Amino acid sequence: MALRRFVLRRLVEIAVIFFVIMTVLFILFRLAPGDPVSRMVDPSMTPEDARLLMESMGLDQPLWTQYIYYLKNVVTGNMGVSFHYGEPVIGILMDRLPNTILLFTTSIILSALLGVFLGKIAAWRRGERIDTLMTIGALFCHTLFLPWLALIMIWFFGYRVGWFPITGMISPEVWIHPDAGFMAKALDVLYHMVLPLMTLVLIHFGSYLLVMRSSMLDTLKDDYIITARAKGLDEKTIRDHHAAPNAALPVVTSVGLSLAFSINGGALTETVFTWPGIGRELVFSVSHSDYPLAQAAFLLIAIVVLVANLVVDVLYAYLDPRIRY
Amino acid sequence: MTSALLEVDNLSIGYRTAGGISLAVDGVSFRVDRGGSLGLVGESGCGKTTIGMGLMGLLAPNATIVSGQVRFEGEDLMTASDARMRQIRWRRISMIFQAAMNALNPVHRVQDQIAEAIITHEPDLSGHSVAHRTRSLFDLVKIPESRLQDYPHQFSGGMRQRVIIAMALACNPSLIIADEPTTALDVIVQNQILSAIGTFQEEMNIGMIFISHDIAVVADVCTNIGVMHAGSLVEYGSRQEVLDCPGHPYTRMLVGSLLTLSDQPADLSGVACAMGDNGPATVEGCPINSICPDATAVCRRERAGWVELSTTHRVRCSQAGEGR
Repeated sequence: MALRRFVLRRLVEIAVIFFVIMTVLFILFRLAPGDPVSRMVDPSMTPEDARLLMESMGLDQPLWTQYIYYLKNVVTGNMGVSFHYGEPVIGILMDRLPNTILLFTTSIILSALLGVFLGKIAAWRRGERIDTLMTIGALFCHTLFLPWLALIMIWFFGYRVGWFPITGMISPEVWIHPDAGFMAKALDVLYHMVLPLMTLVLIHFGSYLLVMRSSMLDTLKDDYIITARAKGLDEKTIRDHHAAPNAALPVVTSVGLSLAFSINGGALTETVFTWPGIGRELVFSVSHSDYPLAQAAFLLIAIVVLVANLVVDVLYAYLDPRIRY
Repeated sequence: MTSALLEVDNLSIGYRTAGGISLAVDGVSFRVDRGGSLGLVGESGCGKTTIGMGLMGLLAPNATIVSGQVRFEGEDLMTASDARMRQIRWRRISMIFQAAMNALNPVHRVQDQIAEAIITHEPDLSGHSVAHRTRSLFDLVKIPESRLQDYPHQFSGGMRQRVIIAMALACNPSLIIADEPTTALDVIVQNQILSAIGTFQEEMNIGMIFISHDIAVVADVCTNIGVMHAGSLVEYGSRQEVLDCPGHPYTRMLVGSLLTLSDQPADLSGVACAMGDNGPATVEGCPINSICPDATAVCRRERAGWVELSTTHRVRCSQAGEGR
């Protein structure tokens, strides 16, 4: 009950934040250099045609009227037609969204799990060689430049040893095959996902490891660890059942914080690996001045980050009973 | 004659520091009878808690037992293996921690934390019996069963202390080490907790070591009192003997500092020695010779041995029993 109220309250907050983001986006696009119409208007058009076109797009209206239309359109899901594709942008982005969500949810969950697991061990064996190795390794991976690492991965795994495909998300020949079942398709996507996934996990697990390690070191000094020892529990239970759940809480926070950044890095990863997701579409739309597409992509990313943060909050409330009210 | 449950003989525990081993507990000997209770009193840093942790084998990694013998139910705890110590912990010797500290894990339900202790030591017990025992423990400490599902932060300080007591009783131990269990509670709750501890200890015939800085609290619940100063036991005897005719000047100062309504504000100046001065004695002579009103040249020269005032009452002061 308390949890439901908590989620409802967060949903209201999300609506407010989303409204603010919509408004900021509207202003930003109006402030951006270049007139959106100049892209559409052909020099060969007569002034009369140009005026009609502007009128049809509502650009002759005062700014606040445009703003009201914009709000109405966003709320009703009408985000306009892409200049480049000539299709409604919502349809284009909805096609890409699952690909992005698949890649990034998987990478975030994998890096967090790996970071928590290794950080737990590093803290437990503090000062030993395994701790030193893991800490240095985590710092090293954390500081790698993502596009560089992506290229190195492509060069080594895609080209030198040739284990994994280097572009795209599917192999058409697998999908058009008449006998292609769900498993075959899923395995094909997984196969294409290995390299971008490895890149993202390598970049991100290090910070989770370091957060988990230092948090675990603090937790191990807590009094309930002495209680657990006094109860005669074995060391593994103390580590995994008493210290780790408490120590993992800051990692959950850090997952929430890093979500926005990983979507950010998503544009780079998706571009390098030509992963057909929102990030790549965003880069494309900006470089081609496809305003409706760019605007909708930004809004969609905002929604994804907000919803993901909500999920993290709920997860936190589930993990830490003190947070629920 | 009651049988000894725990015999501690000449126990010394030190902490490794850059300058060698620094003794926190220096040659302490005492015994606890089955169903008997011993209060260890002394100021902060005098080594009380170190003794408790040493008995449980839970000393900090930089602490080491320098010498001494601990016999518990006839078994030598100093040579017991880690696995054996884990069996003894909570099953035979449990602890009551201070609730103001985070003694309960914040992310687990109290019921699970109590059940965990039972399941660890009695793995053959059915889930039903574990739940039943947990419920009856809650009954015992007078907390409604409906609170079993709650998390530690949902309890008040006094209730949390009851949960901790229930947990300590979970495996029906023969010895309980209570480390400042009422510190940071208001006097009314403190009173309830003390009487609860006293009742269980007597009714269940559990031996108890009660660690406190407050001699009034110890006097409430313990049949024997050991007064500690600077890592050593300086006086040891029954409650009446220690309170009514304290043999050591330090005990006299502690007893004299007990607040009563009719008195003038108690004078604590003699008791409180300078910070950093309460560790183990490194100088020659009696550790308290600088604050002792009766100190003589002998006190400044050498440490006193034990003087027996009666068969049950001994004191470590060279002036004791001489003309008083």
